[in-house]
Amino acid sequence: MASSLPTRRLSSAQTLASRLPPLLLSAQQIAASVSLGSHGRRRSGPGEDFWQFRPYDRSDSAQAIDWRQTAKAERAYVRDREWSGAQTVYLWRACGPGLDWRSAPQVPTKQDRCDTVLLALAILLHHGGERLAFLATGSSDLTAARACNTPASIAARMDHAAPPAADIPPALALPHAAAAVMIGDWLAPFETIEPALRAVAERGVRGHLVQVLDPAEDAFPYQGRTRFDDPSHTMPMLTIGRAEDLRAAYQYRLNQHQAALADLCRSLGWTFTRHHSDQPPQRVLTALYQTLTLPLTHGGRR
Amino acid sequence: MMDLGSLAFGAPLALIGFAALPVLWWLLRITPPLPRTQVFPPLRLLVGLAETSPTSAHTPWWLLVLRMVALALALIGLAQPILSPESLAVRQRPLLVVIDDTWSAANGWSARQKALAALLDHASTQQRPLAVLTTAPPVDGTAVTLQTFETANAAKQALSELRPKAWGSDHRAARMAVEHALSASTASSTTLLSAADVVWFSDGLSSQHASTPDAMADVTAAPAETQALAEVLQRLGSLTVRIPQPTQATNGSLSPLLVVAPQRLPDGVRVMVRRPVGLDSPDSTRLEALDEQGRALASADIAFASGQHLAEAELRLPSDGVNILSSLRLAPASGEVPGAGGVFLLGDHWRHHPVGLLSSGGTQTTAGGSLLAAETYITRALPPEVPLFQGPLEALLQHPIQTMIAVDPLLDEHQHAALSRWVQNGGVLIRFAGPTLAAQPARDRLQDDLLAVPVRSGNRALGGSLSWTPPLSLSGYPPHSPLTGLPVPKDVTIRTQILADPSAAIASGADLDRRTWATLSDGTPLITGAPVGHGWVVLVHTSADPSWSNLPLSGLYPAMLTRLVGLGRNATTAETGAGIGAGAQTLLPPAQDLNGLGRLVAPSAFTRPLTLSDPQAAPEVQAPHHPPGLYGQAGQRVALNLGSLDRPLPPLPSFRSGVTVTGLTAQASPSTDLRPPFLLAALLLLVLESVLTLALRGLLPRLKPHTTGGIRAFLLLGLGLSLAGFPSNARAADSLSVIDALATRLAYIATGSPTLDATSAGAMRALSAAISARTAVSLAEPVALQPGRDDPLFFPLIYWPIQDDSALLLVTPERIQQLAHYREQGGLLVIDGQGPDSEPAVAAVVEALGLGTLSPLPKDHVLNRAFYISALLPGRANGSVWIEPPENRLDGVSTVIAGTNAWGQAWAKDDKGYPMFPMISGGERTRELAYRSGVNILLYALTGTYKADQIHLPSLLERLPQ
Repeated sequence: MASSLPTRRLSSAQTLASRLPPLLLSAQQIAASVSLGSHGRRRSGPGEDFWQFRPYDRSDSAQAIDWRQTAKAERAYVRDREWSGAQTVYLWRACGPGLDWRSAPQVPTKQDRCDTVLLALAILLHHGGERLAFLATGSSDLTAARACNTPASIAARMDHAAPPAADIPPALALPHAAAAVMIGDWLAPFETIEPALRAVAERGVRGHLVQVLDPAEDAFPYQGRTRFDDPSHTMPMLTIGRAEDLRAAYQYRLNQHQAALADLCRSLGWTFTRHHSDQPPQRVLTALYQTLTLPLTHGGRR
Repeated sequence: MMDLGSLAFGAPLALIGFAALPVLWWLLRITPPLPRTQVFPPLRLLVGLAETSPTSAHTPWWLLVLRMVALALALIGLAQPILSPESLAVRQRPLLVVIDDTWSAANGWSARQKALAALLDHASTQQRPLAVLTTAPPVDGTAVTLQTFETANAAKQALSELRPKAWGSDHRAARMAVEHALSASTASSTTLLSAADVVWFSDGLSSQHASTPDAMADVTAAPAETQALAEVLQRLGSLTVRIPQPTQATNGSLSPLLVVAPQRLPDGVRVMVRRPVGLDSPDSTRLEALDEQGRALASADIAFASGQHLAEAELRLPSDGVNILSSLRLAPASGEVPGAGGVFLLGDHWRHHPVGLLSSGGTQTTAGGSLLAAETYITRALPPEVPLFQGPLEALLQHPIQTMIAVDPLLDEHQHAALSRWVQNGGVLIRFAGPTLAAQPARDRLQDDLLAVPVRSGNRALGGSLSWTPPLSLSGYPPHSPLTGLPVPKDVTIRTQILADPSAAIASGADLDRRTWATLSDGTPLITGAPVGHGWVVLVHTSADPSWSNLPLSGLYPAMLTRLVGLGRNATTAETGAGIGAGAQTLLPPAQDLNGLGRLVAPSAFTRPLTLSDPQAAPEVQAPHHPPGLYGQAGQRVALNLGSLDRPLPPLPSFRSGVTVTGLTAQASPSTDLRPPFLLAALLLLVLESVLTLALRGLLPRLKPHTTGGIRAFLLLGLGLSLAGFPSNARAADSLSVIDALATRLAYIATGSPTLDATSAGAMRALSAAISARTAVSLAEPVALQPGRDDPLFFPLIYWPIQDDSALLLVTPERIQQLAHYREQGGLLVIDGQGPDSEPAVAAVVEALGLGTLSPLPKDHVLNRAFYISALLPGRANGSVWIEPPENRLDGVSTVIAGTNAWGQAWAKDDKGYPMFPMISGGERTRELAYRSGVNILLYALTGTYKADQIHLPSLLERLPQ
């Protein structure tokens, strides 16, 4: 099969590449529909626009004193500019056979939805002047992540041939001034998710978790005698006599899992958003964008 | 066998399977239906949960019941249930079937075979050992023996080949065969016949093989042998005699009928039919008189009055019609075959009475076709089919002639004596007057016993320059004359005659008036005749050439001669008798056998030449070496018939008590085999079960509204199509309509064999297409001619493929007549044997159709160049081709082409246009040549000898004025 491997990879790369422009395009369209326009950060910081005059503090350097304003009064004033400095947003999304699944043909696969949301967010952020970094699955290198800083390159990287499957982010401690957006189905065991997230949040990065689920994964519409199979075929198949009997127990478990995730995020100061692949992506995108761009109201260091 | 009242099981062991049903129930109950597989990424979340829910899924109870019922039905079906109203006792007693496979069983043979098959089926389900005894002596001359069969199926196989023989039964030999088998079985360990049930399919007659001929004469004594056989059979066990009951026949009874020798009448034939003596009920049948081509020339209904066992009827036929009869054949309305007894062959002596022409004065030099020679006129006047021998008296008497025409003979004493001896023995002498007779000395004339009346010397000339009397015309025929009824033309004038001598007639005691057969207008006789011994002497008082009268130039002359020659036929009563002039010992080789079904076939290897020691005694049918049929050389064939010896048919004796006599359908309510309905029901239930299982597993496609709409539309379409198909079928089932006849098209005979018919259809279609493409002929779709229904008259060519002897089954009297009529109208019959192996079958069909002798296709025949230059009509196989000799036809166009070249296989193409058969040799080039054969054959059928006429084209062109 050695000879056929490059062929297979090439063909899968081709299918992926053919998916790329539509993906980028749909992401652009989605991003355009949620674009809020260019705006300041509504707080002082490095920037060009005037923000406020404030009394001189000893921590300010002497060069910061606005002498013209100081001359009008007795106190020394410092001219604050509106903070327009860009933050780095680290983007990650899960990929793997478990995501490449949908319950019905009219629903996009979870992978599609993850990629679309991530790319659309990247476009939005790029327009907003933020710095982007893409944590590709399988890479543990922050510089490589930071090198991937445009939506196009992210898209290219995303569709790089056969990315290794990963359903939890790499345990990289991200710099504290950064933000992280992590999209996936988060169906891995909580015991593996927790240390990874804690490692990421070690330096106090602000994180946003998005859980993309297929509606069937939530509703569990199966009934009758069913044999359940893992998409990656790593687990033994599970045959259940009456699938409908298991619905309540399953949903309870899923809720437990989601609650644990939400609790973890809260303890890290992160946000946790749930999304179904049959919902329009704009909602989750708007919510993400706003939490990313609006000033922090709680916690977090300035 | 297992017997449960009226329900019995052929294989009750299969019922043991019911014991396994509860086990199956349990197994099916705990075996859940196969789950469907669902890919589910959050499988991990389910893992712990699975144990909390019970996994045993039950098959729905109704599905279980369905499966059980299906299995039970299958088990019952496999046990071979048989529903029979009569109790089927466990009978291991062997069954002895006695069959009278005689000529008298041919009438109703199909009913007999059906009953026999039913009986064997019955025996097969009972697994009884079987023995079969056929009472007619076997063809190969061996003794009548008892055959035993292990299984009824083997017997069935053997008996399906059984055909009635053309002779009667030998119950004495049959009894001896049974006794022999009994003694043999006691000697060996087999106890087959120690106790057996006997079923005897009787032909309704007692044994016709009596030990002495004298015993045969007494009808009441004849059944003794049959009685003895019945007693022996009854001693074995039970005896059931099965004969066709009169009530069974819808039209006419199935009792044996025997056509006996007919009698000639002046205006037809009197035919007689016998039936067994004991029958009382009125009965009727139909008898046809056929010519050599198998065409019915006349037919009559023959009715037996109550209590009468000999019925007769008269067939009205003109005398030349009588002369060309070749056989009499019963044509029962029920469509049964007449059998050998229902056919009476008329030998060549009936039709062709050889006529000898004695030339005048022995001077052969004038007989060179001169218009002045009397022979010319006589030869032309005689019917063309009459064999004519010419020559001096000594040579003539060597031939088996019955009529001799002597044109003014000059005989020496020796010849005279020989001739009168011949007349005394039954010969008919037709003598013409002439100069020799006129010049005969009076002494000789008075002693001449070869004159019907004494005549005066010299001749009487009328209308000459020395006579006052004008030439005399014919006035008429006395009522006793055999010439009565002939026209009296006014323009016949007699100029010279020999006068009868009334005084000498009175002196010799001859009644001149009684002997006068035709008179002139002055009352003098023109023709006189008198019986002499067994024969006749006829004198025409004028000459045979036009020198004395213009009688030889008139239309009366041939008619008169035909009547007079016919005297010779009336003279001999026994048609089967040999020629009068035959020698003491005549060895007649077999020419054709009449088989038991009443059909002429090639003589079997066991038929021996017939020896006629006494020409007057009719020969007798002797099984198996002298079956009925035709013996002798062509033109002098002697017919041997079952009815030659006219004697009463001995009926069955009255059996002792204990013998059951039933009809052929005695088992009015035969057992019903319930196997098919049970197995079918089981199969249907299993299909239903699998559909339901699929539905339960969700594997059936969900029927969405538009899908069901589509299915509904599809079903409606199918229904509509099938409905639309019906009228077309009805149209096809119609007999040929007028529309079929409007276009020129090929026709083929539907044989009933699907493969052969498909080949024929493909061949005709492909050939029609080829002909339409290559020639100016445009042909419509070919049609299939159904046997006995469709008239072939509208088609230029009829194709008949022949595979094997089964084609003979299609040769029915109606078909023979149809084809004869068709050929008469100029149609062409193409008989296509499927390869050289089929040659005997082709020959048999040609024989059965009465197509006469075919000759090999000559190299220079028009068929070889009717369109293409072809060599002997090649086909797929390398066979041979025969045609009807063109000289047999007035127009020189043969109406029969028979070959074994398998043309049809070469022509045949399937619906897609691919050849159905690969060529044996030569590849597609040979196929092309075969198509050329077909084109030639059709163009020959359409244009006849047109191409042959073109041979003369160069000379015609030369004669044209330049």
